[in-house]
Amino acid sequence: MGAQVLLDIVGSVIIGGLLLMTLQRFNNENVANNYKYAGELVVQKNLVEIVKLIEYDFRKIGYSADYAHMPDRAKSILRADTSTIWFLTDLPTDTTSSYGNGVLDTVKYSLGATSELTSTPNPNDRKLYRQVNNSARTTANLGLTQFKLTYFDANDVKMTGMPATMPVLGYGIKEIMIDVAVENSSAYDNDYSYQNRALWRQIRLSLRNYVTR
Amino acid sequence: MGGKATLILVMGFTMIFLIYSRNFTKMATDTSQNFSTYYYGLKCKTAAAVGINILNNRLFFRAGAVDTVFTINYDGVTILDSLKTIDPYQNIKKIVSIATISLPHSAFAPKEEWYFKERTKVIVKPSLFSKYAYFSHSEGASIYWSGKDSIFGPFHSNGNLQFNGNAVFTGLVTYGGTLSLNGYNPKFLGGKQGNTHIQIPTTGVDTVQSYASGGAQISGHSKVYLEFRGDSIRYRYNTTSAWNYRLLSTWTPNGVISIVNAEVHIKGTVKGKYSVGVSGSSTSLTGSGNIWIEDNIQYNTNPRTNPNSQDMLGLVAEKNIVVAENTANNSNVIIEAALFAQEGSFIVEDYNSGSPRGTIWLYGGVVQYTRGAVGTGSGSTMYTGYAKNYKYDTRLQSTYPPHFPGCGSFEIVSWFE
Repeated sequence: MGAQVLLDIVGSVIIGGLLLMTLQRFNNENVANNYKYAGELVVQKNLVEIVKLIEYDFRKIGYSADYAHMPDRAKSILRADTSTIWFLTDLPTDTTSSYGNGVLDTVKYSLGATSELTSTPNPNDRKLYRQVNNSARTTANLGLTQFKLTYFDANDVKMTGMPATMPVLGYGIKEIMIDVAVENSSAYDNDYSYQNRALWRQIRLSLRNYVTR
Repeated sequence: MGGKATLILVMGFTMIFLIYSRNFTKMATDTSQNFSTYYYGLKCKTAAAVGINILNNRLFFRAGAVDTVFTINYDGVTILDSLKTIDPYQNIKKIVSIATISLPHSAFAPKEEWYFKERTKVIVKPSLFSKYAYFSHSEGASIYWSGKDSIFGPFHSNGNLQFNGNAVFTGLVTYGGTLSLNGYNPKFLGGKQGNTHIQIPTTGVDTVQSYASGGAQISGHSKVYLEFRGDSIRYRYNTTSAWNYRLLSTWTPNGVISIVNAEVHIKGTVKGKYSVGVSGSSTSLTGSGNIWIEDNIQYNTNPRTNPNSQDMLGLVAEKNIVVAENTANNSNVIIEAALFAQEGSFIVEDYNSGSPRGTIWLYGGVVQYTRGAVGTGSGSTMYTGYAKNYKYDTRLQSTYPPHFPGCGSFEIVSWFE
C-alpha cells in the first residue's frame, strides 16, 4: 500500500464522515421541524375545537325553544366569574328537536388548576370543564392555558366585583369578552414560550337572547 | 462509476428533500386550512344572521309582511330565507335563514371541509305595551324622578325626563325628549337610548274590544261595577241594584271583557288571564272611558312566590285609570295588573289633599299618555296621597293579557344559532 492509497482512505473517511454528519444534522433538523409543525397544527386544531364549543354554547345563553319558559332572560346567567360561568339555555339534547325541547338546561364552564395536569410536560396547561345539568363534568386536555371572561354592562362599562351571582348581576351583563390561549401539551425541547401560544379573543360576544328588550 | 454514484446520491438526496418538503408544506397548509375552515363556518354563521336581519327589517317596516321564501347570493354565500307564521291567532312568526358555501373541490380537503352550512332560527312576536314596566307619552312639566324611585324593567317616555335624585332603572331606558339630570347621577343599569319615539296607538281600546265576540261585552250603561271573585265575576250598574254573577270561563272564553261607553269601578281577586277594555269620551276623571280602582285588585296565585302563576290582568282605559279615595283604599292599595291609559293618566283621586294614604303596591306595568301624580311629599315624607312601590311583573316580558294593545312592530323572543 502506498501513501496514495492511505491518503484516499483517509480522504474517504473524512468526506464520508462529513456526509454522515450532514445527514445526521439534516435528520435532527427534520425531526425538530416535524415536531414543531405537527405540534403547531395540533395546537391550532385544538384552539378551533375549543372556540367552536364555546361559541356553540355561549351564543345560546338565555335561549329556549319555548320562550315562555324563559320569562326573565336577563336572569339566565346564574354565576359569573373571570374563569367560571353558569347559565341557562335550552340545548338540543334529544333527537326529537334540533332546536331544543323547551326544557331549560344549566350549563357550567369552569377552568381547572394547573396542578390537575401534572402528567403533561407543559406546566401551564389546564382542563376546561363543561357540565350540563347534573351530568358528570366533561373535559379534555387540549392544551388550554387561558380561559378568561370579561363582562360588560349595558353601558359598555367593564364589570368588576366578580364573582357575581343572581340577583346582583341580574340586568347587568350585556356583552362578554372571551380570551382563550392554547399551547402544546408536550412541546419540542420543552419550549413553552409566549410566541408558541395560539390565542383567540372574542372581543364582544353580544348575547342575542339576553338583551333587555 | 464515480459519476454514476454521485448522480444516484444527488437524486436520492433530492427525493428525500422533496418528501420532507411535501410533508412540511402539507402541515403548513393544514394549519392554515384549519383556520380557513373555521373562517368559512363563521362567515356562514354571519351570513345566516344577515338573512335573519333582512327579514327582521322587512317586518319592522311592514308589520303586515306576508309569509315568504327567497334566496339571495352574496359574497359567495347562498342564503335561503323563509318567513312563516306559526301562530296566526297571536301573529307569532318564525324566521329561518340557511347559509351555505360550496368551495371548489380540493384534493387535500375532505368533502366536509369544502361545504359549509349554518342555520339560524328566530321567533318574533308582536311587540306589546304590556312589556313596559313604565311608559308615558308626556312626563308632565313639574314631575321629577327622585332618589326613592326604582323602576325594574323596560322604561320608555316620549317626554323629557327630569331628576331631583339618583333614581335607579334596571331595564333599558329609552326616551324621545331630553334628559335633565340636574346634577344627579341616576343609575341606568340596563343602558339608555335617546331619540326614540314610540307612539301610543289611538286604537288600543278598539283592539281589545274587537275581540268582544269571543269574550264578554257590556254596553248601554253609564256605570259598571265589576268584582273579580276567583273563577267567577259579578257586576252591576249602580251601587244599589242586585249583582249579576257569571262564571268567567263561560262568560268570556277568550279573556276579553269589553265595556262600551261607561265608567268602570273594579276590584277583586283575579284567577286566569283577562283584559278589561273600557271605551268612552269623558274629558274628566269621571265619566265614560275611565277605570276606577275601588279596592285591592290582586292575583289568586301570587306570581312573586309562584312564578308558574297563570293569573294576569290588563286594564285598558281609553281615558284614565284612577285610584279612588275611599275607606278601602285609605291605608295602602294593592294593584296587580298591566295598566294602559290611552289618552289619560294613572292617577290618584285628590292626590294633593287629605292625609297620607300609605303606599301603592303595584305589581305589573304602567302605560299612560301623561304621567299622573299619586301624592305629594318631600324626601321620605309624604304629605298627601300615596308613596310608590312599583314592581315589574317579569312574566310580561314573554306573556301578556289577552289582546293587550300592540306597539305596531315585532320583537325577537328567541334566537337559535
